[in-house]
Amino acid sequence: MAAAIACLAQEDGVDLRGGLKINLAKDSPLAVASLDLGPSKGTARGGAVMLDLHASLRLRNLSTKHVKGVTLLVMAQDMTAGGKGSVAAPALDVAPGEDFPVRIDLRMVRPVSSGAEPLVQVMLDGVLFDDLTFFGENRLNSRRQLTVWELEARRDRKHFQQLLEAHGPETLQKEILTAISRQADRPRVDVQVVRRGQMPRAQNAPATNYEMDREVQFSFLRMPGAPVDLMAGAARVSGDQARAPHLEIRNREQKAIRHLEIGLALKDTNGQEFYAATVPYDEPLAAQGKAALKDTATLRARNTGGSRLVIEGMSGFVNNVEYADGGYWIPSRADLTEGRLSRLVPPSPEEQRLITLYKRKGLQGLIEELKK
Amino acid sequence: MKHPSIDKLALYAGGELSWWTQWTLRRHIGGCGQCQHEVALFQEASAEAFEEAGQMPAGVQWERLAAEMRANVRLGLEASDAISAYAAPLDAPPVRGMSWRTAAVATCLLMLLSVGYWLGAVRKSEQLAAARGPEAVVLEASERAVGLSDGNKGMELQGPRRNQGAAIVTVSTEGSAGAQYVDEETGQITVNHVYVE
Repeated sequence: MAAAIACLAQEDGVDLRGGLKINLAKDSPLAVASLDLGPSKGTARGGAVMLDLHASLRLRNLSTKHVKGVTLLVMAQDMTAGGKGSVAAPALDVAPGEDFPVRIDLRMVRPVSSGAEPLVQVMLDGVLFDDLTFFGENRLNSRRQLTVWELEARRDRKHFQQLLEAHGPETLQKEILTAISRQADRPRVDVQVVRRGQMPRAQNAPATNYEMDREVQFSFLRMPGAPVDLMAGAARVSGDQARAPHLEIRNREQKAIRHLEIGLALKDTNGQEFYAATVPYDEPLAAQGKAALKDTATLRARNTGGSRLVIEGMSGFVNNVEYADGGYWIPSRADLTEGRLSRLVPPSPEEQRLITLYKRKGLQGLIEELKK
Repeated sequence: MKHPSIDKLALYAGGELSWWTQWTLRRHIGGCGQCQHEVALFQEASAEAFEEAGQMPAGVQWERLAAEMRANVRLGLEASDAISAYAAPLDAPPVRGMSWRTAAVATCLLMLLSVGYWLGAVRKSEQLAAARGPEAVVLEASERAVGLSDGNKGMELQGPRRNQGAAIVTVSTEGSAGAQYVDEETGQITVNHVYVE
C-alpha cells in the first residue's frame, strides 16, 4: 500500500485500500464484524501524505463473558518519537455474541515512505470482562485503566441505584440534574504537555513582558478514605506554564503500592479552577513508606478557543491506587462530596453515559437502565 | 552533486526548516558525508551554546528575554525613524545633483555595506538556529482532538463529530494526552489517547 502511495504521490487523491490493517490475535475474544472506511481520504502533497481516516469498526464478542471495556492500540507508520494512539470504549456491557461499535477518527501528516507496511495498524491492547479478568497485550497498561473505569462504573451505578431505592425517582432526577449542571459549569480549556525539552512558544505569548518563573506550592485536596497522603509538592510556574512538578507522598496502608496516580488541578488569575493533568508514580511504594516524585514535564493550558490564561495556583489529589497484591483503590462517592473535589474530579465514563441516557430517554429510561 | 547552502544546513541542524524542506534535506544529507559533517559541527556548536545557557541564573527564560530584546530593538529603530522624520525641515533646499562618478562610488559603497550586513545577519541566524536544538514533541488534548506533533510530523485522534463540546481533557506528565467524549446520539463513550515514548 505504501508503495502504491509512493507511485501516486504526485496526484491529489490516494487510494486508501490496504492503508488500515486490523490485527487481532488468533485467540482474541473479539472479532471484526464489519469495517467501514466511509469518508476517509488520503491526500498526497508533494512527498507527504495527509491521511484523514474515519473508520467505523464493529467488533463481536466471541467470549462467553460480558465485555465491559476495550482498548485498541493505533500505530501509525513512521510516526514521530515512538508516537502512538489508543481508542478506548469504556462503560460497555456487551453480551456474548453481540456486536458493538468503535470509531477511529485519525488524521496524520507524514512523508511518503517506500516501505510495504500499512499506514495505520490497529491492534487489540486489552479487553476487560465482567469478572474483571483481562485479555490482551497490555502495552498501554490498559488493564489498569479499564479496571479503574469499571470500578468507577460500579460505584456510580450503585450510588444512583441506592438513591432511587432509598429516596425515589425525584431524588435521582435531582442528582442527575446536579451532575449535568456541574458538567456544564466546567471551565473549557485545552492542555498541552512536553515530556522533555522546552515547550514551543505560544502564538499569543506576550513578546515584551518578561515573566519570571516562580515556585508555586500545591494545595492538597484530602479525601478521608485515600490510602496515600500528599505531604508536600510544588512546580515552577510561569504565565500559562507549569513545569517540573515534584511531590512527596506517603503510603498510609499496611500493604505495598505498585502504582498510583495524582490528579492536578490548575487555577488561573480569573479564579477558574480546572482538572488538567495526572502525575503517575510507577515505582513500588512499601507499606507506610515515603517517596519523592519528580518530573521533568512542562504543562501549558489555554482557554478553548485560544485565549491565554495565567496560572496562579495548583491543587493535587489522589486519583487511584493499584496495590502490589492486585487490588485497587478509587475514591468513594463520599470522598468526592467535598465542594472543590466534586467540581474538579471529572465524571466517570459511566456517569457520563447515564447522564446522556437521561438526556435521550428521560427519567424513565434511566430508571429502566439502573434496574438492569 | 549540488549541496544545500550552509545556512540551510544550519537551519536543518536546529530543526528550524519547514517540515517539507527538512524532509528533502534529510534525504540528501542521508547520502552525503560532507553535509553530514557540516550538520554535526552545527549540532556540536548548539550543544556548547546549551551548556552556556545552563550557566544563566535560575528562572531566566532566554526565549522570552530574546523576544523582549528584539522587540526593544525594533521599537528603538522605529522611534529613531519617527524622530528623524519629525526633525527634517519641510522647506529644505533642493539637494544639489552629484556627478555620475560620485553616484557610482556611493552606490558601490552602499552595496558593499548591504552585503556585509546581510552576511552578518545570516551568520547570526545560523548561530541562533544551531543553538536552539531539535523541536520538542508536544502532546495536546482539546475538545476537538488529542494530538502529537514534533513540528514535522503529527497525528491526531479526533472526537465524534456530533457534540464535540462534551469532552473531558487531560494530559499525563509521563507523556500522554487524553480526551473523553460522549456521542450524544448513541450514548457511547470514547476515550482517545496519544502517547510519546
